[in-house]
Amino acid sequence: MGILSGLRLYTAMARTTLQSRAIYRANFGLSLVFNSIMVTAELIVTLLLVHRVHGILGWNTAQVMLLFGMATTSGGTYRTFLSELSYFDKYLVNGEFDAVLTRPVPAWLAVAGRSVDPDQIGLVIEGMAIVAVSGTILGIFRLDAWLVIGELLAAVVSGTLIWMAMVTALAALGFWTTRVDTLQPMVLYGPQTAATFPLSVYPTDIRMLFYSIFPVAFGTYLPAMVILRKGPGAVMVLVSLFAAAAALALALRFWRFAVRHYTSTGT
Amino acid sequence: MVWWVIARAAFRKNLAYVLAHMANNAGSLLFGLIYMALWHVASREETLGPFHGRELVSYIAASQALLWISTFLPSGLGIDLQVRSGSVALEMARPVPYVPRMVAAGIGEAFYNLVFRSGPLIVAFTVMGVFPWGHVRSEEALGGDIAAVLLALWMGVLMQYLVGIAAFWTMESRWALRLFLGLNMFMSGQLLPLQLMPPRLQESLNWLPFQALVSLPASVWLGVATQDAWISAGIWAVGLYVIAVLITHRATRRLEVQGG
Amino acid sequence: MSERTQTRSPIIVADNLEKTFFRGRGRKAVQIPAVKPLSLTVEPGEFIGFLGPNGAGKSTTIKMLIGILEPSGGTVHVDGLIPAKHRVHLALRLGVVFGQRTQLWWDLPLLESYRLLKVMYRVNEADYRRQMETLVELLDLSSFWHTPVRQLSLGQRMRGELAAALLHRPKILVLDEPTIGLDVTAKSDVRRFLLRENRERRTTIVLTTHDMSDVEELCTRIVVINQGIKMFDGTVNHLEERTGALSALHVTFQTTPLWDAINLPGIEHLSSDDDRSVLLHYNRRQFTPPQILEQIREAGRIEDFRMEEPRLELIMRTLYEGDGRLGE
Repeated sequence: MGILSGLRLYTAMARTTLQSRAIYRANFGLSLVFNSIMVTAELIVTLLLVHRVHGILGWNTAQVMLLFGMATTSGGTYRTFLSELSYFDKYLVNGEFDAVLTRPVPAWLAVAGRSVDPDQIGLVIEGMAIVAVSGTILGIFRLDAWLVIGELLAAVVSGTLIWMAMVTALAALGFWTTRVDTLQPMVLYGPQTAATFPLSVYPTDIRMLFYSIFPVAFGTYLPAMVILRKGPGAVMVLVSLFAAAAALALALRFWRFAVRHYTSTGT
Repeated sequence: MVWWVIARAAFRKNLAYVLAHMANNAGSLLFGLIYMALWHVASREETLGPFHGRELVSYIAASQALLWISTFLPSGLGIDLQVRSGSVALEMARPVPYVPRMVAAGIGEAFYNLVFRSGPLIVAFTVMGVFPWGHVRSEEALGGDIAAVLLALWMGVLMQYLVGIAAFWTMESRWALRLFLGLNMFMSGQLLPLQLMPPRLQESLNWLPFQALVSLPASVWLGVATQDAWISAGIWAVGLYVIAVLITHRATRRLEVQGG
Repeated sequence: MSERTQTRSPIIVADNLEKTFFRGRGRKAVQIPAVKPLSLTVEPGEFIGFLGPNGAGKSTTIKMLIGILEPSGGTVHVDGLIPAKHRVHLALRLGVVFGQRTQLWWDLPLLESYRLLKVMYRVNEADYRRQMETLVELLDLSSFWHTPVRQLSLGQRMRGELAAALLHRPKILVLDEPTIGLDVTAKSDVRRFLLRENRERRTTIVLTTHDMSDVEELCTRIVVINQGIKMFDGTVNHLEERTGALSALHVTFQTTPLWDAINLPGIEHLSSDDDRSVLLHYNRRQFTPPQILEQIREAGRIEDFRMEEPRLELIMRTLYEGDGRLGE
C-alpha cells in the first residue's frame, strides 16, 4: 500500500473514530482536568526532588524540567494517535480483531485508525507549556531560536516514534500472552518515568536498556543534550530520528510476524 | 466469621493470576530501581532531612513495597463496575452490610498483594541489600512497624472504596481514580519523602490521609516517624470509615430515588 | 479483465487444509487439531452451507478461507489468491458478516459506516451511489438511516451489516451465522435478500449456520463438518437420502403405553423422558405424522403430541452412526 493511499485511509478512519467519540464529549473536559492534575503532581515531585538536592549530575532544575516537558509532549502525542494500541488485548479477548482482519487494510493501520483519542491532547499542550517555560528560563531560545525549535520538534517526533514502537511491540506480544496489561508497567510506565531524568543517573546495565530494548534515550535524553549544548552536536538529533524510525520499523515487522500467529477466539 | 470468609475469598480469587502478576512485579522492580538510582546519585554526599547516606534508597525500596498494599488495589474495589452493570442494588440488598463487606473483600485483595506483590519486591530489595530491615529487627519497634503497615492497608482500601462509590454520581469512577493517583503521587511521599519538602507544605500534608499510605510506614521502618504523623493516621483511619458509611448512606438514598 | 474466463474455474480451492492450535506452554502444551486435512472446491455462483456443531471447525475453516488464520498445513486459494498471504488484496473481493459481532460503528448511524467503507474498499462515487440506492431499497434501510447502530433492533442491524458487506460488490460473500437470534420475519427478510443476491448477481455465498431451515431454503450445497472432518459434501436432497429425511415426533400418552405396539418398522424409537412419552424418528418421505399417530393408537390413549424440527444434532448423529459409508 502506498503512503498516500494509506494516509487517506487513515484520515477517513480517524474521522469516523472522532465522530463516534463526539458522543462522549462530556468526558473530554474531565479527562483534560485530571490528566493535568496527574502531570502537575508528577512535575512538582520531580522538580522538588531535583531542587532539594541542588541538581543531579550537572543537570539543574530547569534542565530536568525541559526533559520532563519533552517526555510529556511526545508521550501525549503517541497517546493521542495510538491510545487504543496500549489496550490492544481487548481486541484479542473479545474477538474484535477478526473483524479488523476482514478489512482491506493492513491490520496495524486499521487499529491505529480507531485509536485517535482527543482526550490526550491535554498532555501535549501541557508538555509544550512545560518546554516553553523551562526553555525560557534556560534562555535556549535566545540564540538561534529557530534551530532550537527545529531540534525540539525533531525530538518530539523521535520520542513519539519510540513510544509507538514500544507500544506496538507490546501489543504484538499480546498475540502470545493475551494479557498485555500486566506487562504495561514494565514496558511503558517504567521507561516513561526513567526518561524524565538524565539517563546518566542510572547504573550502566539499566541505562543500556534505555538505548536498546526500551530506547527512550533517543526520544528525550540525547536530543535534550544537544539542545542544552551538553556535548553531542546537532547531528545527534538526526541520529535519534533515524534510530526512532528504525525502532518503529522493527516493531512493525514484529507486529506482522505476530499477526500471522493470531489464533482467533471461539475455537 | 463472615468478614474473614469474604476477605479469604477475595484473596484466593487472585491466586489464578499469580504468574501474570509476577511479570508485573518485574515492571514494578524496574520502576523501583529507577527511583533508587536517582536517590543513590542525589544523596551521594549529603544528609538530607532526617536521612543519612543510603537511607533514602531504602526509603524508596520500602515505598515500592508499600504501594502495592495501599495504592495499587483494584480500582474502586469494583464498586464502579457494580454501578454500571446495575447489580449494585442487589448487592446492597444483601443481609450483610455493604460497607464492611466491600472493605473486607478489599482487605483480602490487599493481603494477596502483600504476599504476591510486595513479597517478591521485598525479597529482591533484601537481596540487593537496600530494604530497611535494620530498624524492623528491634523487638520493641516491631509492634509499631506492623501497626503502620496495617494502617496503610486499611486506609488504602477505604480510599479505593471512596473512589468506587463516586460512580453513584457519575456512572464511572476513572476520573476519581486518576485524581486519587495524582494526589497520592505527590502527597503520600511515595517518590519524594515528605520530610524533604518545604516545612509548611510538609506540615499540611502531614494532616492529610495520604501520608499514612506510604510516608508513615516507610518512615516508621526507618525510625524517623513523628508522633504527629501517627496521630493524624489514627484520626483518619476512623474518619475515613465514618465518611465511607455516610457517603454510602447518601448513595443508597440516590439509588432508591432512581429506582435502581 | 478476463472475468469470463476466470469465472469458469473454481473460486475456492482448498487442498488438505489443516489447522492445529496449541494450548498451554512448554512441556504441558497440547496440540488441538481444529481442522483435519480438508479438501473443498467451490464453483462461482454456488451457495454453500457449512454445518456442524459448536467447535466442529467450521469457523476455523472459514477464517482460513478469508485470511484471518494461517493454515498449519495444506493449501488454499480463493479467487486465485492465497488468503493469509494476500489478505488485504483478497478482502477487496470479499464481503464478510459475523452474526455475533457487529462490524458497523456502534455509536454512529449506518451512513457513517458506509462512508468509511467506501474509502476502505476504494469504491468510486458513482458506483457507491448506485449500489447504495439498490441496497437501501432491497434491505429497506431508509426507516432507520439516521439511527445510531446501537439503537437498532437485531434484524435492522443485520440488514445494515449485509449492506456493509456488499457495498463494494464482492465476488464472494462469507456469512458466519447471519440469522442467529433473529425473529421469524427478520430471518425470512435476510434469506430472501441472500437468495436474490446469489441467484441474480451470481455472488458466491459461503454460510455457516446451526439452522437447518436456513440450509434448506438457501443452499445449493452443504458441507457438514464435525471434529475437524468433512462428514458430508453434497446437496440437501443428497443429505436426506443419506440420513433418511429425518423428522421427529414427540408423543405423550395418558398412561404407560404398550411398548410393543410402538415398535413399528421404519420408525425409530429413540428416547423418552419418562415412562409416558416417547420420541419417534421417522423418514418423512415414508410416513406422515397422521399415519404414525394412527398406527400407535393401539399403544395407549394419546394425551399430547408435537412435531419437532429435524435437529442438526440428529442428522449429525445419524451421519455418525451410519455404517462408515459417509466418511467420503
